[in-house]
Amino acid sequence: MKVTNLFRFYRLGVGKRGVVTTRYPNGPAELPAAAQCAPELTGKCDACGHCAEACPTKAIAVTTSKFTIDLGDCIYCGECARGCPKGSIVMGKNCELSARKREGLEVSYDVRQ
Amino acid sequence: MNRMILSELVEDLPPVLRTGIRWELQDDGSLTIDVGEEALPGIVDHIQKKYHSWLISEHALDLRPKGGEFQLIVLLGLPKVTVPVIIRANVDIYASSFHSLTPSVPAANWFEREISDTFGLTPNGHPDQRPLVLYDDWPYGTYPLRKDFDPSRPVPRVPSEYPFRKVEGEGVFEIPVGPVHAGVIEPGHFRFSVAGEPIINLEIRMGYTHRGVEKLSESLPYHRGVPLAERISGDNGFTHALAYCQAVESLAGCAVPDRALFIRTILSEMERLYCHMGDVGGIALDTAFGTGAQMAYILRERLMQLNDQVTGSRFLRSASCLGGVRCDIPVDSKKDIQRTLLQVKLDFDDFVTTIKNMPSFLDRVETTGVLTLENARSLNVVGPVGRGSGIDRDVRRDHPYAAYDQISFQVPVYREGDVWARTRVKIDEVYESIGIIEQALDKLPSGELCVPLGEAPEGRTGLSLTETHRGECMHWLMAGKGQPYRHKVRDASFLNWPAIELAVLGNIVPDFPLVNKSFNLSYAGNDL
Ligand code: SF4
Ligand code: SF4
Repeated sequence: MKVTNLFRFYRLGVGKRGVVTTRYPNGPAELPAAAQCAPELTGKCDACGHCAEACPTKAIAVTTSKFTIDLGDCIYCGECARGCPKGSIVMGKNCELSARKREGLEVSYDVRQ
Repeated sequence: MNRMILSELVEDLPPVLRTGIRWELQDDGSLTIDVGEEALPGIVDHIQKKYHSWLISEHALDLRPKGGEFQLIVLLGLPKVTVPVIIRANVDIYASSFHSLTPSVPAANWFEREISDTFGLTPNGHPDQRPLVLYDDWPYGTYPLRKDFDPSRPVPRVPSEYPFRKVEGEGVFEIPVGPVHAGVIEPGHFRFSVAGEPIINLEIRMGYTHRGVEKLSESLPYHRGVPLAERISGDNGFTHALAYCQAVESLAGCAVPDRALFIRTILSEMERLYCHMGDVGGIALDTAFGTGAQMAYILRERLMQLNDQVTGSRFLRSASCLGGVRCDIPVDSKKDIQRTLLQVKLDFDDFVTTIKNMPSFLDRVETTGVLTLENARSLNVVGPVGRGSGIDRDVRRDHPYAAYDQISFQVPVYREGDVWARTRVKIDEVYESIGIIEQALDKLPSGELCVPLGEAPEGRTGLSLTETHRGECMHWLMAGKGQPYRHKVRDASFLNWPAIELAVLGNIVPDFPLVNKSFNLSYAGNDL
């Protein structure tokens, strides 16, 4: 009885370990669909400042000409993306965010109206 | 039921205690009693003796900007009652002292030392008047939670030394351990006094990770408090955020949609699962049983990857929001969860069989670090530690929140109080959690994920309890203008740390890491 059960589980693939590690960094990083990496400005922006207002760590600074996210302060919560009335901010899928200098973590975009 | 017991409670108060009190039964059934500060210890002692109540929290408020005084809030839990008894007492501004509860309620010890540190109110009659939460070099007379304290200015530092308890005698040695430890863990100082191998005294010094969470929260609008609550204590971020959200929702009278309640339940249990895997693995590791530990750690990793898959965060960050939840569980995720849990359950069976049949493991965990029921009761120890010592309490069953009232589950309780009892509580809870998730997934209703919060009227108070994997976690709020006027957080660790001092007595020093691991308490959650 026990043995049959065991075989049934094996046939289902339950308990089979296989390869559990991923190929990264020799291959691309496999991110889950829900992953939230650095926020990116992808569309139009009228510098309304809603995103900066929504950000819990004040990582975003917007002026009429420049939009800056400081990834050193960002906690990847996605509030800015939800707060943008134009839907211009998306939570990106790039997880390689290291920089050689502190300033390298500040990402700037030109504001396009 | 609640109303009956609670109104009886007030009517039963002896006439000496009844004079000068005002009481009121709130809409939610909870009882509020306003007493004079000098009558507080008497009333709490009476309720404790007669109704076997326990102390959920004791904290202070600065009502001076509102034209009031300082106020003490004592929250008591009662068996068979789902709502707490709230006792309020005003403390005179000029006297700045109050009658201590600690002589009759030992669990109040750390609460009152914290009040003394952060509000400058002296607990008269408290046997231990040393500082607790603030840094050693914090200047005397600066009280951070008073409303006139300005958090934006740096505080001058005054070098001083903490007076540790001295144990003296022939052959008694002191072993200071920490605050910096060998592994990458949080900072805390442990001072052992030993005679030979056995420990005859342990004193725990915390406060190295004090970040001023409560003060910070008083300056943040409610929605920004959620990411803050998530970061109070790293591995139970979701349950802390949930407790905060529930407290704010009760301020605003917001009704959370059904689907969100079920998803909250599922995510809470997913958090408990991966934390318990780490705990039982850590216990195996501390008995030098590496193979067993790795079996549990693989499962922990798999569960964290599942978290990542479902919510986009291995630690379930950003999944909670006021008025509901952020992340949905669509059919795909549901299948992922079911499949993973089936595998995890089978592999966890392997792990449990392995450690239960390992004499060298059992030899280390049985009769080690015994916390007696009496000690656990008097310190109001909560969570798996309390249940390992025979305290049959669990917030999920006794004060149901989220969708726990629609799900059936057992609360495992063991009486031995040793490391093995605590391990078995956690093992049993893993199976219960898997059961809870499966039921919740089956019953998952459709509908909205999140509703607008609404207005939180100023001056209202809200309380919320949740069961983290460490035990009961409390968030208490008083509403201000769009942000909390006062936010009190009490992690399970705050109640459980003092119990380690008792559990290690008579054990040998090498067993301390094992006992500590079986408690698995948070330093950051304690220090705030
Ligand atoms: S993801 Fe969160 S922390 Fe980062 S910039 Fe957006 S709002 Fe700020
Ligand atoms: S990104 Fe969106 S929210 Fe931010 S300033 Fe531009 S338009 Fe406004």
